[in-house]
Amino acid sequence: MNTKSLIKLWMALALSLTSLPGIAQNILTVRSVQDFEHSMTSLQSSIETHGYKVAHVQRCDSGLTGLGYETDRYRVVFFGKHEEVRRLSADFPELIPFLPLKIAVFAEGEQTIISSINPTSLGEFYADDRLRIQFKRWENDLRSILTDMQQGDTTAAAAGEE
Amino acid sequence: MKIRSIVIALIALACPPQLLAAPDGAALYETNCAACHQVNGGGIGLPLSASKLATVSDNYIKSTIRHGRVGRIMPAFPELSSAQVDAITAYIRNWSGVAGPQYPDTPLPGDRRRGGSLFKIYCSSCHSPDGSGEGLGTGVTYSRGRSFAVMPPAITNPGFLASASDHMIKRVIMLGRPGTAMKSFLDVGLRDNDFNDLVSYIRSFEARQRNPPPAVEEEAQKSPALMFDSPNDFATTIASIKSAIEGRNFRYLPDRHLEKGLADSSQVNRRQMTIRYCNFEQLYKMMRVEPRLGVGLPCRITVIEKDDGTVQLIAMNMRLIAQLFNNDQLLEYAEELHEIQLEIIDDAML
Repeated sequence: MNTKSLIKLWMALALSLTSLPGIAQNILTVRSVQDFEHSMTSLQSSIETHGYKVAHVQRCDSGLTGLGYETDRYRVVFFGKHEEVRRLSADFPELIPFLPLKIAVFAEGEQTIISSINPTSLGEFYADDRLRIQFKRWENDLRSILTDMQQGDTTAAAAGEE
Repeated sequence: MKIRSIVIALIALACPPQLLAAPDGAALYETNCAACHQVNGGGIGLPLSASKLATVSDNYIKSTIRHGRVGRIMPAFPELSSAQVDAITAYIRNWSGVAGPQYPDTPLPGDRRRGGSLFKIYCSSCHSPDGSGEGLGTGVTYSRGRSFAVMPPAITNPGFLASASDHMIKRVIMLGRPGTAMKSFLDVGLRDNDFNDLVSYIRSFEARQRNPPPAVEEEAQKSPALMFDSPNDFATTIASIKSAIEGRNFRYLPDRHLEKGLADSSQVNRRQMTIRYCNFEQLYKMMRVEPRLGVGLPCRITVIEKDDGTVQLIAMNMRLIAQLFNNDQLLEYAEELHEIQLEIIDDAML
């Protein structure tokens, strides 16, 4: 085997391994052992750390309980970057139903579940390459935020919080 | 010798580090499973209790991870390597420290027709006459009471049928699952040939599952946004949507400009208005079968006026977005909502 063949072998191997598919989850979901209130605080902090602004928080539980339906605490957090929302809504109005981004947060007893649509799962419906890149960026940010929620558990525990 | 060393070194360079290390079952479980099954197998997913694990083989667990449960919340994980699936399985198995049972792969001979009659008598009251499960939801409760602590499995599900061997199904029917409503039918008085006939009938569901309906594929070709040009001006379009919503038993939430909250109010584009509404009865019904539904809430139609004066109505395609959840029950409800949404838009554009 000569050097040229070795280089070819290495390139083929590297390409095949780096193109392994990622985990294609349509709905990104994590569980936090923090309670609901702590999770809401951590989430909003992480969203802002990632360069987004929380636009508003929708309370889903109050409407339900107000009409007599039993539910635990449930919020939807809307967030985005102003310039990004403006640009994308002008260039791609078909994205508007997904703007701003949102994350659902709901209590399950003393723990909290945090979910979001994986923007990359929308990519198959949009042919434009610029959107595919955008979806991937959002996915990376959302995964990082959700990871923060889980790592926040560790931080809280280390700090002696409940 | 030298060339071999170079090849090994190059392979090592090409491999991502996670492929070189043995998969960490605990970490993989935490990443892929714990959101629904909690760290100990509880949570909104089907409980991975010791009594359940005692009746299922490692192959069943691995195949379940690989195939999921089509149309239920449990997703398939085709991306995980065999070593990763093995690691998760070993991690789950270690909770009890007891090795799982092993079942032969050989099919059991049985009378399918007779099995169907037995199924109606002994099984259909929990698993429903068509074997699809109790009806609403999956796993354990989401902040509400349910008639079962654990939903009876959809034994028609292709993921279940691909994972469970005939001998495993037979054993579960014979001995039941302690701690659940699934009792021992040996105690009820059924005999060996009855079990074989029941298994034969359950296995016959497989043939009906081989070809998925084409509708899903057709839907996947459509856009996740419903977009229509309005024949009216911006203000009239908004008023028309509100009027159309009023007639359909929805409750308004305050209108919001799309950019509201992202910038000072003076900088917000006022020609992008979102009209938000909710039918709480419908919402409750849908959240019972899919607690993560909030990622698509609330119902809303956004009206935009473009620079050229064109006015458009834009809404989420609920029918298509619901497909992301891998939940057939949600699809049925989303279809209802989709039709109502289209009616509202139709009325608003008159």
